[in-house]
Amino acid sequence: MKRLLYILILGVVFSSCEREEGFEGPSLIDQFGDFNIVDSLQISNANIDFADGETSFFMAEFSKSVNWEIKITGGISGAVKIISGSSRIIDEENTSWDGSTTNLPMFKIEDCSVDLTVSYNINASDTIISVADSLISVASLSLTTTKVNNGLLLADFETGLDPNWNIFIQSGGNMSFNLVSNNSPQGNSYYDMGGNVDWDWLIGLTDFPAEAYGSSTFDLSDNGDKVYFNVMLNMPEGLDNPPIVLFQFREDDNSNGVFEEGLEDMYAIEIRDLAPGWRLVSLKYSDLTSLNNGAPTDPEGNGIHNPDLLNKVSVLMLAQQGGGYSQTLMDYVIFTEDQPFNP
Amino acid sequence: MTKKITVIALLFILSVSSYAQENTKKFWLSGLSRGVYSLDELKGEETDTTSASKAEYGHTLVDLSANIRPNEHTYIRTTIRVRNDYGGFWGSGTTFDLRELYLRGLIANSVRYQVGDMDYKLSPFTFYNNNEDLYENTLGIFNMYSEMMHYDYFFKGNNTWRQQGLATDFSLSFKKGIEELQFNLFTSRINPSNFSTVSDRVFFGGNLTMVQSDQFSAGLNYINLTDVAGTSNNLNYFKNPVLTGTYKANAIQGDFKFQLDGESGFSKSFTENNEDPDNVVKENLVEDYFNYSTFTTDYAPLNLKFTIAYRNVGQGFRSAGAQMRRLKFATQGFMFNRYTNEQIVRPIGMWDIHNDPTLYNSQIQVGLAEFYPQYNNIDPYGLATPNRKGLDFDLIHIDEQNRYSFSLQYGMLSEIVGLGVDDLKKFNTLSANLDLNIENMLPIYDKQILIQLGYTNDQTKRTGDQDFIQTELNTQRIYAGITLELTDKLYYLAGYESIKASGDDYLANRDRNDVIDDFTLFETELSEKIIGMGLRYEFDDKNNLQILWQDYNWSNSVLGTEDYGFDRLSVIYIMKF
Repeated sequence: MKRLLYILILGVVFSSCEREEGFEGPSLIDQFGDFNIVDSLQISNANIDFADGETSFFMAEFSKSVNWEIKITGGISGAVKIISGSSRIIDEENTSWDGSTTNLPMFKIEDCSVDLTVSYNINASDTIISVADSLISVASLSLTTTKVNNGLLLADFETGLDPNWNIFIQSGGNMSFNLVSNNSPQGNSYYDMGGNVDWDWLIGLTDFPAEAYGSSTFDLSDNGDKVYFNVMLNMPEGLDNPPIVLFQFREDDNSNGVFEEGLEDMYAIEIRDLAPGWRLVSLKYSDLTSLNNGAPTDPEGNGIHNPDLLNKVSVLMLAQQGGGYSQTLMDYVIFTEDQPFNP
Repeated sequence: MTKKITVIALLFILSVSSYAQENTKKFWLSGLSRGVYSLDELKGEETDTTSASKAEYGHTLVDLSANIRPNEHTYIRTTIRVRNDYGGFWGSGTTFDLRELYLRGLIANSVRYQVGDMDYKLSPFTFYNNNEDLYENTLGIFNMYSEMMHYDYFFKGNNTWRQQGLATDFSLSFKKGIEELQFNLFTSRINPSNFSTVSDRVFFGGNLTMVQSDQFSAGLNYINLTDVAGTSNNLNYFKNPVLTGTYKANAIQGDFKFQLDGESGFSKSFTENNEDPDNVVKENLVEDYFNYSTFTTDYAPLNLKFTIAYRNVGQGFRSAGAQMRRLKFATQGFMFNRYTNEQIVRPIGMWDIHNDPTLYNSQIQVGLAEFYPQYNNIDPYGLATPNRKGLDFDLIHIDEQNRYSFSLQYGMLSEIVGLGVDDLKKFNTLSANLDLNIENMLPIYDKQILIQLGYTNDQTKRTGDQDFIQTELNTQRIYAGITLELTDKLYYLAGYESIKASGDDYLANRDRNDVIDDFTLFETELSEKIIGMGLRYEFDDKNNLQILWQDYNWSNSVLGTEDYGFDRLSVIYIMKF
């Protein structure tokens, strides 16, 4: 009898082991099941004050898992935020919105429309029908403030050109180093750099010295792997002479308050192949190299990326000499830490 | 070169044979010879002028085994096969193969060992060669070719796998507490290294059984199918360890004999250092457990045996040695593989399963292989089929005067987790088999009249609130046969078998990492019939000649292919010596 008892105990032990619940493989309901809206689209916060730390998310529930897409479109800016996923339930887990945009421009204080579309398959009379991008809900929300961007902002060009910046403009034709308030990717204004210089590559430059921000060096981390340089650039359509934008980063390696040519590190990056339309360029500081006439060379200082010793950032607008008029639009120059700028 | 070696070996065997005649029991020859001739005719659409409709083929072979006993504790056996296919003259088409070679012996009168080829099994959940679909309960007249293939592939009646390696067993006896501890250990190589990308894959394990008394015993089984590190440049190592415990207890009370036995255990299957294309290490661990238990009651006065079995085999239970299928999944047969004027591929049928040796596996492989749901959708991997739970009932009765015997089986199983949905498939199987020995019912008749009748019905069903969830696949099999002894040693054989499968079911498609990535909707409206008759003359117990005629028809309206059929006339001579 005891033996039987032991056997039963053994059986109970094995039987008590738990297995994963649910089912194996992809869901057949998702593949072939009927699609119904169980709970229609709702917005957790339809008047969002991002500056006050608020966020918003969306809620909906379907009869089966579908590919869904929420598209938020700014009524004034035209900014578009796309949140997408594949699930049966839409909730805070998969739709939390911090006010960022998917593609430039960034959102402004404005009313936004919200469209929810879904894509799925259904089985009708043994035939699989694919439904793509079906618009099932429309809603709206208002932004009372825009999102707060963390980082060291060098320029958003919203309040004019800082007199502490050093701007050099070549003698040429149609020179336009000025601010423009029209279809800006952020705020209302951007910096227009353009002109036609037959005798030199350089059309103009703008220096952002650290002194303009209150110190001989920028207030950045000393870890080059953590610091990102971000800038929004746009090449207008119809240019025959494509621009080259050269960014230079001068370090005060010996901390004497000035950058000394030939003794200290200067890192640089050339941005070529710009295309029409606003584009965010984000560069990890430690990825920057020293350049000599566009070719990589050894740095002339301590050879260490020291963002905390950065003394000056320069933007050089270049173009093929004799190539005709060239132009680049620039906005929102900002250093961020730990991750690239999320517009 | 191979032929030369074989001829020399044969000469050696024959010369040693003459020596052995003077030293009896040191050496003797044994073996089997077989001659098979078949004339097949394909029956397709009458307008088919493209396909060859007839084929004749056959072979003659001799398996010559040299049995050597150099001393009373050592036995060596080697078998050479000489085969000549029908139509091969003057050595053309003749093959010589070393069919088996092993040595076994006894060390110090206590430890037995075997080196070389061996037939091995442990338990249905660790190391077991399950019978192929349609094998069980098939009439002898239709199983003749299956039996030959079984012999060729070493599929012996006790469900062993032919391995090459080393095995040993020994036992320890005790005076008190327990009677005996039995040890069985083995190792074999499943896959050889190519010294580049494929590692040596070995299969090893063993069994420890504690026999407490005639009434109780318990044991442990352990097996592991694993790649051997360092045998190639491949750093991925597959491993599939399985550990199980077994128990067996019995008791007698009056006319009743009770027995409880079972097995429980767990498995893991994973690949060390496995990286996906994005260089992310994916161990692909699959693990689970199972419980299996049977309770058997024997009632001696009625010669009645009733068994109830419970099983719960997790969806992640993997045991390559027990889940390996004998039967390969194929969409195309070897014989008459295309038909009709459009030369479409001829779908596989039970004819191929009974007759086509290319459909059979000879070695253990990893993974849950594809199977034929129209023939077996319930236990395609035997008792170790994953994701099954439920009860099986079995009732067997043999008449005391051997006038008749019958067996009834009923199974009610279900999935443990659903496939693609939460709804579970239910599996029901009903099987009945009746053997009538008419001569034992007739007091003045002494020639054998054996009638066999059988019926099986398998059903897989899933219900749900949406149409696509609902599936139902039914398979019915009916067979009837008669063996009539016409005169002394001359028998007339006749049989009929029909299989009908209809319905649909979703089958899992697994990727290389054993993860279900999709489902295939299997649909069938299958009808197969085979009728046969023939004569068998038994020269003695080891020597018989058969002349058989069979007619087979296949149709499956779901596939939209032409119906087809075969006629076969065959002559088979088998002699064991």
